[in-house]
Amino acid sequence: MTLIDEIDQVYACSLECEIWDQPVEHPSARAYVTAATRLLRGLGELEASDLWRNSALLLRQTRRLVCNVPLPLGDPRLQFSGAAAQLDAQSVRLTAVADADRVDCLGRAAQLLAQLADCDDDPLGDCVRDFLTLDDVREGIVIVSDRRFTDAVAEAMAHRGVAVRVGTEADLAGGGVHGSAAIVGSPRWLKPGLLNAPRARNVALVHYDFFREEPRVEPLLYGPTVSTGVVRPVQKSAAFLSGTAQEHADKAAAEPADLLTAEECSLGEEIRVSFPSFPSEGGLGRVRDEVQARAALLADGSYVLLPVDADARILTVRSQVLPEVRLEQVDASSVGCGDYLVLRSKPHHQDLTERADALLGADAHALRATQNLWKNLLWERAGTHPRGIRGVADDLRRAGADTANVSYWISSWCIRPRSRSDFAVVLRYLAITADHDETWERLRRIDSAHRSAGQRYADDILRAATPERVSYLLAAGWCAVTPTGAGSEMVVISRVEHLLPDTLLAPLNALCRLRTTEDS
Amino acid sequence: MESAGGRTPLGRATLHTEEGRRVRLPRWAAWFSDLGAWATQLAESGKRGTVAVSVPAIGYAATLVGCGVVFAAFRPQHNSAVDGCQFESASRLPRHEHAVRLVPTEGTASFVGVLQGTVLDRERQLFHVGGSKFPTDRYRIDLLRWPDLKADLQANRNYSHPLEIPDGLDGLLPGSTTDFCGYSALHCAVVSSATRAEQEAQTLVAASSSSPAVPLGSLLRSRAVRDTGRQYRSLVLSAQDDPEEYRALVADRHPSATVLDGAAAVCRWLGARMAPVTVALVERLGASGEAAADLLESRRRRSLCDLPLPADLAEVPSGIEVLAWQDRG
Repeated sequence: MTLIDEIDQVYACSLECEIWDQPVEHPSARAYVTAATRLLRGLGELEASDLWRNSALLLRQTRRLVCNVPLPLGDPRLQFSGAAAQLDAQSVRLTAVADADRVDCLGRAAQLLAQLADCDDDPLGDCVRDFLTLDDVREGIVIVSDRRFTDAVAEAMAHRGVAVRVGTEADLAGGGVHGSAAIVGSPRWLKPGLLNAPRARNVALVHYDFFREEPRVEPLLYGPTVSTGVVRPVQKSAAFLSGTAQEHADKAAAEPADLLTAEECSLGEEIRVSFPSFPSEGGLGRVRDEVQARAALLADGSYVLLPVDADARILTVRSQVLPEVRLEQVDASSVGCGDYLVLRSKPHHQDLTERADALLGADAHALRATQNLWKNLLWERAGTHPRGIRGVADDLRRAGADTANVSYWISSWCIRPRSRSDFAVVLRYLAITADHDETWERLRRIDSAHRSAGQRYADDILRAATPERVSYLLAAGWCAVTPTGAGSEMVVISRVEHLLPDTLLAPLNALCRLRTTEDS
Repeated sequence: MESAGGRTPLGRATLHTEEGRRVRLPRWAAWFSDLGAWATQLAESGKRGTVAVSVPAIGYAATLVGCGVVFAAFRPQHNSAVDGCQFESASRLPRHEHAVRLVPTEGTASFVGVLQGTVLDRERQLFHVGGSKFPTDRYRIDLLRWPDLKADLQANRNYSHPLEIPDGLDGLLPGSTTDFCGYSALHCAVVSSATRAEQEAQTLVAASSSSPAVPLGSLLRSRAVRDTGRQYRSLVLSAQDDPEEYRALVADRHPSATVLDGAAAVCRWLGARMAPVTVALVERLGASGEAAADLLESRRRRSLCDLPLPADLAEVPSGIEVLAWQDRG
């Protein structure tokens, strides 16, 4: 097929496409989600307290999985029975110390989740299969929001007789046009482009019936536009009933107040509650190696925390002439939507430090001692200063420093300040008598070893990024490669889809690595 | 399906598939070409404006809009008759200063070089270009309004650039092929990805089912900034380039329209205002689609008024969203 044929198919699809809103009714799933939601809403700000944080996170995670993953509810990959046991244990532990009603709610939620884990029902999956088999299944696709479940869902679908392709929304945004697409999740999780520039002739938005929002197709341009086949009505299907007839007969009428918002079961919301937000006034400096960060949601359904401060670097893939790519280390703070990041599940910095030390050889130990000396002294000074880190920063500015990025300087990531004159101010401030030039030169050697280590690592990845992998990356928004060379751990290259607006406070070891909210 | 308005011949054109079949060019494709012609019409009526278009997929829209702009903006320059002889006027030009193209009054032999002056040799009037002499009755001069490096031109004595006129082009052009393919003028700047632009330019189209097919690129006749001596009617810039570097260079050559191909190009280049009319193409599925839409909206808020689509373009093909407005000043 030529390029223009492919484009023509997309235009033709916008003429033919039909979009269906497909609610799914399953009383037990609804009961658990309602219980979890009531408790979480009731907790409010208490959710961030040490007492409730773990339970709340577990409730959020399980609620999101129930709402988004079309797998049988008892599937061991969802780990609902383990989560139910944990919630139950926590409710026992909280009995003496927390509000009795809330503890009761937690116990009830644990019980409902345990029931889900015990049942074989697959409400979302059944509905997807029902829809896809109306058409040629070979031309169909199932879209889930989280890459980690694509294989499991494909397997479960095949096991129940429907062998179908399963992907993330990035797979739907590629070049081709599909016959039918079943998109599973809350009614509004999909980016608007997938509905106003559809890539399937029949689209079903499969979601539970307890959401507050209804799906809508939105235009892109504001104002009195002239358009055809961009916005279209979403046709409402009758609810797909799953579970026993008795349960449906017994179910209580839906309380409008219990309806869930799409935002509540989104990954973004979960990240926000996983980390404390950065206090706008004071408070910083309680914990060393905790820095301001922003969360970037990735095309594969995971996310990455990016430090707000400049100087911390991250690997990106750039492509000028396809399929040729090159890797660049860029300031993590400069990353934006559409950038492709190279990520692993362990922190890039830790690995880089080990590689750099290998390059520095016998000198590594002594050089690291120089690096630690000034940072430790600065940290101690911040500890004794009445106004902590902010006070030290003010002192340094008064002493002539142009920048005083103290929280970053004391973190283990920093090798040296960017400016040599600022560094001289720091050394004077700390009364370090060592020769400035020599110290600066020693730190430069570490910096340079980090750069070389980064370059070698980038070369390894580049060799592994075959043209086939790269074209998959461009079509799907993410791909996995396994670089050759030492410590060859799988690397995921993924496109940044969305940056959360909040600034969070995150530990250094959580930054610049591939994360899911299940990570500790 | 009905063809689009017919401002350009692409509405009647056929497309050559890879398997060698000929099919009618899709309606959306012809519509984009006609939209380009309208952009030129707006510019020629003295209006400054922006035409914002959202598309379901990036690809072909910019090339086709560019073809439409070029088609509508083309003005004949070639006078092969005896009274078109330029000996007198060329004699008045400063020597060794202008890069020129010699366009033949017959045939396709064409040359590019620095005009070193005019010469009268035994009553024969000659142009002295790039170290050789050319009879003025057989060539016309086109002053190259492009900063081709003189050194590059001088390094190639008699830099021969035969006119490339693909067979079958005439039915798709607004004027004579020699004129269109011989003279240069900047009608349109397309900010795109060079690779995609090149790929799209190779698509084969034909004026009718019986005429030979030509690449789409021969209707756009684009050059890059750094090409030397290349005949052009449009310019392709990379969306990743710095608009500041090229703004003046393009604006000084007075194109009718700038076409911004994709959300990334719109976000980066919308403020550059290199031509009276900007056609901003935004793919709705792109990562920066919404950012581009926001930017367009903020520009529209400062505009004079919305511009209605002309009747022949108002039946927008499916999948397309369009909004045009007149910019201030």
